[in-house]
Amino acid sequence: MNLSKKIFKIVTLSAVLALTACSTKTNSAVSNTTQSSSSSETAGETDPALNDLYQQENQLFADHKEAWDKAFNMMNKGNADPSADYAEYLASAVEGNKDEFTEEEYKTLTEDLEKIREIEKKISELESKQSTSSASKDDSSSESSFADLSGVDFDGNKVDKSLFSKNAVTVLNFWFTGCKPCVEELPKLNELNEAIKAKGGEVVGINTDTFNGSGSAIKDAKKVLEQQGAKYRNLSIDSSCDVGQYASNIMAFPTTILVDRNGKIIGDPLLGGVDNQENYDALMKQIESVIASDSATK
Amino acid sequence: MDKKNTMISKKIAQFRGWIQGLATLLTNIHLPNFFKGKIYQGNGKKICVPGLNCYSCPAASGACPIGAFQAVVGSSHFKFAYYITGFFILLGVTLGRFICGFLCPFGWFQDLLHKIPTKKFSTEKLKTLRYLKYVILVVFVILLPMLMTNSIGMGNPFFCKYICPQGVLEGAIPLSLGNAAIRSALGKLFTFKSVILVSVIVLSILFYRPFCKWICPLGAIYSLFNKVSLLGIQVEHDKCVGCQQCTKACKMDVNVLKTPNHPECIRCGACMKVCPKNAIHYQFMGKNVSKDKNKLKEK
Amino acid sequence: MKSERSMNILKSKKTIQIVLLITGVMMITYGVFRGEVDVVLNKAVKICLECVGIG
Repeated sequence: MNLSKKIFKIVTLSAVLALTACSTKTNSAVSNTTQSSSSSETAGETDPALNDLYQQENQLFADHKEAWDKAFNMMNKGNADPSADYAEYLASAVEGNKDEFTEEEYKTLTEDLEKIREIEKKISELESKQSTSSASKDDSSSESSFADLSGVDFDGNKVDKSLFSKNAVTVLNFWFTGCKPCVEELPKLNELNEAIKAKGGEVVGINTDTFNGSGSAIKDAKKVLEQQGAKYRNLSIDSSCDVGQYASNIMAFPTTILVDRNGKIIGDPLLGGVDNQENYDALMKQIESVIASDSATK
Repeated sequence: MDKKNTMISKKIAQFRGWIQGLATLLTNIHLPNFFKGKIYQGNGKKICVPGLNCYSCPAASGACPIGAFQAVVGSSHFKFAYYITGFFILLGVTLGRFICGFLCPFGWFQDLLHKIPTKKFSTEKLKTLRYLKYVILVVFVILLPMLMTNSIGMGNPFFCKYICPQGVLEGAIPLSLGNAAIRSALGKLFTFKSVILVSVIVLSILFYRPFCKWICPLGAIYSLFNKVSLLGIQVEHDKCVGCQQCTKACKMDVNVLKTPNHPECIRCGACMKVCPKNAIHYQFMGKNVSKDKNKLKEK
Repeated sequence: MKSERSMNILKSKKTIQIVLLITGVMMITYGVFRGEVDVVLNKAVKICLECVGIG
């Protein structure tokens, strides 16, 4: 009986351990998702900050209510340009009606205007940050577009997101040097690159062994590419950029995705080698439709 | 002291199912990954697990020894896998096929299947098939990955790719359930291996551990060490009355009285449970002998 | 005599065990030194689809 009790305890202990082990593991997995949710959090946070700034402005107007009411009455609010700088607008209104104010009022108003200029600067900063973070929040939550890309190609030239904008369609192929089917499809990918070059497409390879410019891994990858006759561009990207994050989350190789001019992923990823004729034809069809829609939007 | 030892041996044999379950859990500890359709990618995978457990299983905590062996041998950098072979030797000489009996998830899977109540068939007459696993080991795990390389020197993991049913059971199936992209990639190879898996399942219900007896290359490796492993089985001949209950109970077709450390013995302890004289027990490092020094440690 | 012979067998068994243990440890050490562990890790965390029989 003692032994069976012991075994039960061991089993439950290990079950608990398993859950804790998994939670430490899931923490690292969750950190990926928290990245996307943190941008939404910052978006939420800027709202109270913005509100605070607006309140400061209103406080100024309230403190010197008489002077400001006079100024407001004199302003031609209907024809105001909403996109123009608010502080400038107020300043020009006060300047324009300078004669109507007493010296004291004018002094108060100009002092307030200085403060308002500062507040407006902060507001515009926050607003632009909010719009970009909400934009990236949309992107990462729908996971369909790359916000940024940073790395080097195998000749040492730096690359960034403009890589996508130069092609009607970019075929991103993720592979690693130890994966035999990935290596076997390299000649076929080279063929594909030649075929779509004229139409404005490009095949770009991303070797996931070469993250963050690992020299020896790049050397190995270069050797393999040479031996397989793959002359198209291959990148060693930073694991911190958007594309790097996407690549780190891939664990089935080879994977090929299509990216349009704006960095948006089109369709589902293709798993398996394109040296399989079926896969090649399906991919070609998709490429052509992206090229077609790209020239249509032009 | 021997009586106490026999009691412990019997208890271990009785709780084998629990130990197998625990071993399977520890070998596949990252359970949440099943729902995410991802695999564990941490440093735990530098170490091999003792049993047959595919690295493509979402929950796998370590690397599969057979898979890792083929990976190293099939890579363009190395011709021989010292790390993995050393691992095999170390585990073999300490535990031998105790791993098969207690620590292998696929072994547990077959044991559970065999519990399904049907007519059971004996493999006594099929003893020649036992040699098949050595052929599979030499050809599919060692030679083909080493020799069938492309121009860069890369070889395929032939056993993993074409034969291993464990990969389908805990890798391909859970991944394709949780990951739509992988689901779309399933093709002819998957169909072929699924047929193998289904056959092993059916055979496991009718026979006892057919995969372990006839196919598993890992079992083939560990079996080579059974005669010299530190963990072994001892039969006390002065207690034995020759009733042959042990040999009748043995489902791996081993003659327990003559050869308790036969390469086919997976140390399941079925013989210990039926011995009316408690004459059979585990021994580790030759310990648990009687006080009389002249008594034999082995038969 | 019989027990002497079996004592010899026993001794050789012990020798074999020790030799194998040492060989195993040495091979593991050499393999780690050679960098085989990285290959094992690399192959184990990225699924090459064909290698596991998918596709």
